[in-house]
Amino acid sequence: MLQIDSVSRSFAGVVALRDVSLTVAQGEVVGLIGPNGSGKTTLFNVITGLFPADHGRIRFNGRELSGLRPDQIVACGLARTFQTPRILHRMTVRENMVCATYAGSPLVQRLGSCAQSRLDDLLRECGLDGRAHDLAKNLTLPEQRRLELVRTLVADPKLILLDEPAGGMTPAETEDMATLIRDLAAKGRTCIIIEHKIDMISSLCQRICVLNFGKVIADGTTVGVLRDEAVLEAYLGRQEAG
Amino acid sequence: MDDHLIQVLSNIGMITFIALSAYVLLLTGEISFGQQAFFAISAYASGIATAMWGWSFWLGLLWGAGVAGFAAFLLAWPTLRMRGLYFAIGTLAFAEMVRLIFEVFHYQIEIDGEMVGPNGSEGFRGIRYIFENNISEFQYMMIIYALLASVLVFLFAIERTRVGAIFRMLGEDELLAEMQGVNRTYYKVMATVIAGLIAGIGGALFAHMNTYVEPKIFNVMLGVHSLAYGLIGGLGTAIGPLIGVSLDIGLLESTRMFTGYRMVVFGGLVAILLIFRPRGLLDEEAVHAIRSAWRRKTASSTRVDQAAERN
Amino acid sequence: MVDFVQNTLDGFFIGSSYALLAIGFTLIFGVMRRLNLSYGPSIMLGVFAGTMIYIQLEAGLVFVACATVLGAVLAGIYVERICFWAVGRGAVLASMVSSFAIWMQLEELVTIFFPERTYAFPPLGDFSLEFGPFFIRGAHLVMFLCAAVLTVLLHLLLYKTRFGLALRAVSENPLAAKFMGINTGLVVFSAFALASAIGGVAGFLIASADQQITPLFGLWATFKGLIAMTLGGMGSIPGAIAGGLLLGIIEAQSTWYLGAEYRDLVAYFVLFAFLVFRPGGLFGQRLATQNRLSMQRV
Repeated sequence: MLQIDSVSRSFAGVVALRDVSLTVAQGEVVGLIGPNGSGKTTLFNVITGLFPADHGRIRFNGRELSGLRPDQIVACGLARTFQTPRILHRMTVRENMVCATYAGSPLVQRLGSCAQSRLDDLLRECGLDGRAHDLAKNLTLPEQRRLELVRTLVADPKLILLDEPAGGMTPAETEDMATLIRDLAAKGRTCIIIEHKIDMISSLCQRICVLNFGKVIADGTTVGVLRDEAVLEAYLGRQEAG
Repeated sequence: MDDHLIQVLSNIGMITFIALSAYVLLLTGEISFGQQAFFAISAYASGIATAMWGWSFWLGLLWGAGVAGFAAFLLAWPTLRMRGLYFAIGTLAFAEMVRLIFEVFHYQIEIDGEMVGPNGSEGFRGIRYIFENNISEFQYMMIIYALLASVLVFLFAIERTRVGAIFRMLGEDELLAEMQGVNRTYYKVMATVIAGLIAGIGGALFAHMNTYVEPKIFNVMLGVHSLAYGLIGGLGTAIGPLIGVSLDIGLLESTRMFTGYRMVVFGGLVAILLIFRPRGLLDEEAVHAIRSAWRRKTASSTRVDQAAERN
Repeated sequence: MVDFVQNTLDGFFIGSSYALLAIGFTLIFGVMRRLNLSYGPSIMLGVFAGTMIYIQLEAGLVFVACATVLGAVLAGIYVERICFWAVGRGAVLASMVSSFAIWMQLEELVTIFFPERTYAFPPLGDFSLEFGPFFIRGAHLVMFLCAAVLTVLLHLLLYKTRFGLALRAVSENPLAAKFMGINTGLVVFSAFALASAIGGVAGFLIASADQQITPLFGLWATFKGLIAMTLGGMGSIPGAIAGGLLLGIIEAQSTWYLGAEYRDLVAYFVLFAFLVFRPGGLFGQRLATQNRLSMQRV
């Protein structure tokens, strides 16, 4: 479904992504891990069109994504969340959801007519229906992350990119988030998840790709990758890995 | 109705147009110090149409607003890539250029033995359509408010639909908006043109009420004022700019209490207000609180009705 | 050719005062990332303080200069406290509009206490130099020399003192600076005072070269500072200097070849062109930095 071919990207001399190749098939839940600064979020940024790759191509269901604007890419069926939840603080929870319905829709559409019940269902599924009319700025961090997550579902995307969905959450909150994502995946959606919490990743993903200094150093089954020498070295340093 | 009151109300009405113009751009997150340019362009264009080409007032108004809207469309493209403060300075530069161009713009024709038309820094006299057609000051005020009401209804309609939500999305988080499928270019240009048209309507009204315009009027002070009005009244709703204008012109002008140190008082009050309410009196939170209260009230009254029916 | 060079010289010297204004503007922008629309008016307050002691007390040049700088600094502190410190970090637009409100306040204060159209100001030097076909006004030369000295002093302050280091740190990344233990509030306050002092010197030099001061000075100074700063690159001091000199030269040349009515039009056109094609200004900041700077939400 998603095909990343030898993508490279530098910023003023600092190489953020170096020849990264990755293929994700439909229905897969792939984990993307690596130490801080290894290029994970940069990869997401390149995929979603925030900035172009210097080299390499990205294809989504056969469609070439390089060179498209972010809104065009999103209209193809991708959605993403951010490391720090990006929600519209000055609007209510429900209004945040409504705004998400605008991906690729035609010009004039009354706020009232767009599958309102579906938005309510989604909010109920993640437990935010009680907060529907509160301003988003008043939500707690886990609630904000849940809002961001459920917001990605509004436009019915085919591929969801989650950037540290459990960042800053307690173990209990992380478990709740993992359950939500598991439900999501169970319904057949393809996901790529960036996370630092290895327990969460291993419980959700059948496959893990590891980045270090912008390069892919491992890409395989969860169990195999987590025992890989190179991966341990990247995270823990040379001596510890031995 | 007292003549002075009519004049004050008319001024409030006209200046609200340019305040709304700046407000539309503020919604999308852009600070524009230059909306007075479109006010000016329409003032001159509509004045030329009625005073020199003999058009009717309404045609002149449409023409003026149309030219202003077109100018806004042209401005939208070079300013598209300017972000934040660069956009603010860019619009300032543009507006000053427009003003300075009018300072050297001469276009006069002879009518009934007199030279009529824009004459550079001496301005443009004789936009006398309103007086020559015996429209009273009261009637003109009604025209101003009819148009203002239409613009407000238009803006309320936008707020309730997709376009308004997209504008506010762009205003709060442009990146997120793009990530949710919003074509930034399309909507920014749309906002710029709508803002230009609104300022244009105001400009035409202004020219015909004053019967005289000169480049000096359309300076940066007017531009920054129009921005300030929206910020004072509140960015949560289109009524905000109207409140801001009313407070400035209405309260202080008509009470005449502070002649001579009006700005000292008003400036100080504005500065203090902004410390406590940086997004104005009717900011998004206030509007939200009002809507929530209204919803709870109507919900509870529905329950009361249902209970009454059952009994 | 002679005209062109003469204009360049004139523009260069006038530009040195613009450069000073721009330096002050850019110092404030550097630490706050906001435009201080009260910059010119606060300087004007200082200049009028100077003119007052000149007229009332017949004070000497030095005292007038001190009064000007002191007045500018006090006014600057007033602006900083109300418009920038009290309004808080996040509200960019609110503090700019607040600075506009205070601008109006200061301008009116000046016209209340000084109702005449123009007031006398002590002259700097009534001589002129000639070499070959070229001619330089003495006042302009003094202006330039003072500006140059001040710039060197500023450079020393910024690069050779702890305060300068703190100021540069806050300009670069205020949050990181705070976490490193720098008292950002104090730094911002001091930067404002410093910028106002520099502005005061600029105001003094300009008023004394003109031998008069009018209430229109406030708006004029803000604009010159803003344009010069943007031409040179927002937040950059070498940029402010270059921008100021460039603006002076552009003005001088366009006044000579096109006429006084076109002077400002050309300047604004150049400014707009820079914003479209090279927003970083002469000392073009990297695009990434620009995006960060301009990503300030309203």
